[in-house]
Amino acid sequence: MNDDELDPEVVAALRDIAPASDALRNQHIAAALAESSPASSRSRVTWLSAAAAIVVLLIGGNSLYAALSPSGGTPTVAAAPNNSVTTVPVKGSACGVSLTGYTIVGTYSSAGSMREVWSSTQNLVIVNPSTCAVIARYPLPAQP
Amino acid sequence: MRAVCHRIVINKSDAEDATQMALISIVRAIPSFDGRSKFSTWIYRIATNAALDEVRRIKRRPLPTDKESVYDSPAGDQTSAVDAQMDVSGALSQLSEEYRTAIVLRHVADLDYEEIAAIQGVPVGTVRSRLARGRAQLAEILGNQNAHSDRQTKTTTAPPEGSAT
Repeated sequence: MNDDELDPEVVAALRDIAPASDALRNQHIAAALAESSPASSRSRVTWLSAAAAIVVLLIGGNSLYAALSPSGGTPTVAAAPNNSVTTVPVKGSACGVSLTGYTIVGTYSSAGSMREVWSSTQNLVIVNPSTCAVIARYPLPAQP
Repeated sequence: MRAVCHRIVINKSDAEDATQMALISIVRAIPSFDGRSKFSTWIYRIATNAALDEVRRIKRRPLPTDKESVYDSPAGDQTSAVDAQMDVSGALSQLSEEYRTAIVLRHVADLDYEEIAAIQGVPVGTVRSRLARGRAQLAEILGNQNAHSDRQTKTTTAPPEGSAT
């Protein structure tokens, strides 16, 4: 037997499936996308780490620029070794008590002062660990 | 892919469940797709497995009380094309899983014998045999349905014997 022995009308009927409604299609897609959320979480962590690194570099760069730039009427101050920006491994911090919903993602020192970088689902904040005061706050873009 | 699920599962809502499961399985398994088969074959394999899983799940449920719950029959005033589709759905539901799957993969998904063999995990010769027997059974069932339909039409349109007297 070959394929031609199946009536073309039967083949046409076999293939004649009513299209899915928009609601059903959206439901299928939403359920399938929900399955990919663990991967999204992984990429979110990567993204947050990258964002934290960028903030650290920006703040450190600003501090370094301020230290090296001559200002009007004031004598030029050469950059001292303690103006350099260094990151240190993340450790526990007492500021977590006052930062509900935040997770520490990094620390750095700038001009001799330690700073901590904390993130939540909505913000990235820079904290002075000695006073737990929030020095700067950067809203994070919404996740797709 | 949805058409394959519908034709293997037959019942519309169960077929949508199978389609949903197939989509989820595809999303889960995409990282493990190794490219040894065509992507479309891989997709149809997942859809077929999801549909067959659904069929087996249905078999464990209590039997339906009427024929309409097995497949969705259209209303009587719909087009002949839809009537033909109803006949095909009913006929397909009477085939064994193996024959029905082979028929659907060949005539709905347009897969060749080698691809169907890979999906069903059988030699190509077995696919040929399943297709031949499946087509023969399908034609026989559809022929019987048409003959039954013709008899019903004659019964309802012809006046009863002796009514003219």
